[in-house]
Amino acid sequence: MTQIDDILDRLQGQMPTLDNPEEMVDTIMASLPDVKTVDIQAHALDAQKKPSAMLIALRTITSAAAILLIGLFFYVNQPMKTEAQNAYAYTTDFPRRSTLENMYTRYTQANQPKPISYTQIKRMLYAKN
Amino acid sequence: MVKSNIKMIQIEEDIVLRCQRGEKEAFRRVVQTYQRMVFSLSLKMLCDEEEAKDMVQETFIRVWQSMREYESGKSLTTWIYTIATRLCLDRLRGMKHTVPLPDDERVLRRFASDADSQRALENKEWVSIVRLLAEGLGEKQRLVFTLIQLEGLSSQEAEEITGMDAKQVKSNLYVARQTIREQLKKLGYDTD
Repeated sequence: MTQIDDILDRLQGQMPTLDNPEEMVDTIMASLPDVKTVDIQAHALDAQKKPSAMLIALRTITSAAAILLIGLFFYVNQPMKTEAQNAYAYTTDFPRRSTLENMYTRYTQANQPKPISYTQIKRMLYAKN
Repeated sequence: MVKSNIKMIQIEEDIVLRCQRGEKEAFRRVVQTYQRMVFSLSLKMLCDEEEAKDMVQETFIRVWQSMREYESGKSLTTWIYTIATRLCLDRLRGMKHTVPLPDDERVLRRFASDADSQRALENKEWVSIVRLLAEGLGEKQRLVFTLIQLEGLSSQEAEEITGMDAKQVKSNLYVARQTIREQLKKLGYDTD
């Protein structure tokens, strides 16, 4: 057996000594919480672990309501889609709303003279010639 | 003979049931039976006698508070060891890292060369020796080494206490032993 094995084996064979063991027992016993305190703590821990059915239902309802509200907020505030503008057709990008003012504005804009594109100008020139 | 000090200490089931009902006098018996075991573990883990005594008190308060959670089919020794181990690890993490002192090496040499192998070590000698041996060990290695090598528990008991599987226990113990061997070799102890 090596020296190291001998050291480790001899260490295993021993236990530290406790001075005044009875005094330590008394100290420990004096510091133990009372049974009632233990019961209350145990009951409190149990209560914490198992919330009541009412509480669970309330939490579910309020969570669902919060999600609905947030969804509604985003739905109401989403930007309106606009039509893509064609290079050859002049259309307004005014948002579609059913107000009279907007309807009038769209009408006047639709009847405005449309700008002529470069291709159309060339066609006209060649046609003349 | 040696392991009988540390082997499963049977305590009457009746005592345990009475403790679970809140009878402090029954719990006194539990403290008297297991306090030395808890002190031994705490001293070897914390390397400080006063801290170890505090740990004994804290462990038994926790055992008393958790008595209802104890399942009578399982070993009370293992259960108490588990609580003590967790508290020791928590305390160790909060403590400053202690380095071996020059005197620790002298204590080890005196122990190694002592012809009287039956002489009981004093607690301060325990602290010196463990502080020297545990230097360089990680938390899990130190724990497994203490439980198996110093406390004399079996690998299976160490698995139940630490929550590690057999492979982890074996691996940590191997690394711990190798580290300690290297340290002792540096101090001039032979490995052949």
